[in-house]
Amino acid sequence: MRAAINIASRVLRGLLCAMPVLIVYQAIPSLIPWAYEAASLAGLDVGSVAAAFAALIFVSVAAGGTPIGYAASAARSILILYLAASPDAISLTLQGVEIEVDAAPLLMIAAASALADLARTMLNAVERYALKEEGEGGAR
Amino acid sequence: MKPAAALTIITLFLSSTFTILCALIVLSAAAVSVEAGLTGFDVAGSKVVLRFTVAVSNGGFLEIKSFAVRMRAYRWDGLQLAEGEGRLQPIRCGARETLNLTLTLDSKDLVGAPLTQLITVRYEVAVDYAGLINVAAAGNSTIAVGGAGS
Repeated sequence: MRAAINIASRVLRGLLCAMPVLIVYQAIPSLIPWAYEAASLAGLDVGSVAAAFAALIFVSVAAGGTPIGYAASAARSILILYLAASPDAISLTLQGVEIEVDAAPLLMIAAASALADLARTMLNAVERYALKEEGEGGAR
Repeated sequence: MKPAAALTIITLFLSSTFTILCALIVLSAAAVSVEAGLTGFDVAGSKVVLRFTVAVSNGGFLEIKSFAVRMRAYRWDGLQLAEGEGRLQPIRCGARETLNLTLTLDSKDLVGAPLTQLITVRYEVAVDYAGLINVAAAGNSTIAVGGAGS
């Protein structure tokens, strides 16, 4: 019973964290109707990137504290770093008009945040697994 | 303070700054509009002057630091006939600015244009939005000359 409640709680927390990404993805066309018309993020489809983000956030929160959770968290940071490092970050074609968006200052903030998050994830994983094993070895 | 805790605080600070800035930009940029078009032409001797007007309305709450337009007119065979450019800076919140551009063509260059052929105007727009985002847009527009000079 306790395990079921724990799993349900983790799933709900994961959904709560992942839903804003999907809500924002759905809401942007109501503000900018042409936002996703032939748009791409670093050569990737915007919908796929949003879905990947939502899935990684869901897994990292729902499976937080487990190796899968750490891997999803690291993958999310790496995806942000990849998008930020891509030279043609945002491009779209609208009725024959080619549009390139250079958001370097914003992307630098996102990259710095992703780097700090990646370092934190790695540190937590090392503290949780590597140091724990070392401690267990010492005890033996 | 543990390094992991310090990194958590840094991550939270940076990610919330990013989210807030993105939200501000999206909400503000949605209220910016650009209208452009050919407003008329004059014929003076062998010269044909095409007049274009570009109007930019900044209804958002972030300033457009600069708005630059460059136009080039090309003949049906790809030869560049004329070039014009203009710049507006800055466009404050709530302001509407207009930019008048002219392209002067020599009618001699249009001799032989088939009835169905057109002049192509290639335009390039560069916008610096609040110093945070640079948008570059480029496209082509066509103008029928109806066999001018033939």
